[in-house]
Amino acid sequence: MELQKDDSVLVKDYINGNEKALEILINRHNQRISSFIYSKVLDRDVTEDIFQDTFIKVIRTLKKGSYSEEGKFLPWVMRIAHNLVIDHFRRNKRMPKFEGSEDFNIFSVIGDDKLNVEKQLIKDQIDSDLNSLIDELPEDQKEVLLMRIYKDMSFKEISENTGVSINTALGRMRYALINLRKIIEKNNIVLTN
Amino acid sequence: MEKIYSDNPNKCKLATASQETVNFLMSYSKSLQIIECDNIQFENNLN
Repeated sequence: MELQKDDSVLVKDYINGNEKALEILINRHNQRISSFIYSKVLDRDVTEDIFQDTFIKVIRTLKKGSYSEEGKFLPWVMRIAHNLVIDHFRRNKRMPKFEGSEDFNIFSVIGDDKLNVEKQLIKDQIDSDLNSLIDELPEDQKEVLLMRIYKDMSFKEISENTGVSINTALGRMRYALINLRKIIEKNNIVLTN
Repeated sequence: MEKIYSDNPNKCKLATASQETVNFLMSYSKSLQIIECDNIQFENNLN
């Protein structure tokens, strides 16, 4: 039967380059330290994170040679874990975490204005179909429609730019829309999002 | 009548960090090197 090495011996071994000694130390105290952290934070994932951060500190301190061996390895690690738990709560106090429940999901009332990927794809498809339809219009109607809808120009500006009266511009716009509807109906095109 | 306290199960919950975390720590430890130069310590992470 193998005799269990003391923590202090394992720490010395680790400092001297024996990586296996660290694994033994972690596994030996894993449950105790994790349970201690869990008893404070009551969250498995946070427990894992704090456990990991604790041992990252342990590893760095040992490798830097800043650890003074007084036969108190576990209390020292527990103190680090304890401080990290406090840091965790301080951080959460500054930036409280809200977790939804089964009855209420925060994302049902909070959302951004952006379309989701599917709707964006549909919109892009509709825009492209509409461009093809506009290309089918007579040149004078197409010109007025593009200026009004895409360039957001007033009919007065359109009349000045095209050299026709406002009434003619209005008429061309009207015919452009009528013709677009005709093409859409004729080809059974569905343009909805 | 004698009260049987043993009916009350131990509600203390034990937690253990996953093997994945332990493996990560081992890899971190192996990759970390401390180099000292002019009394200044440098941390090196060799992945």
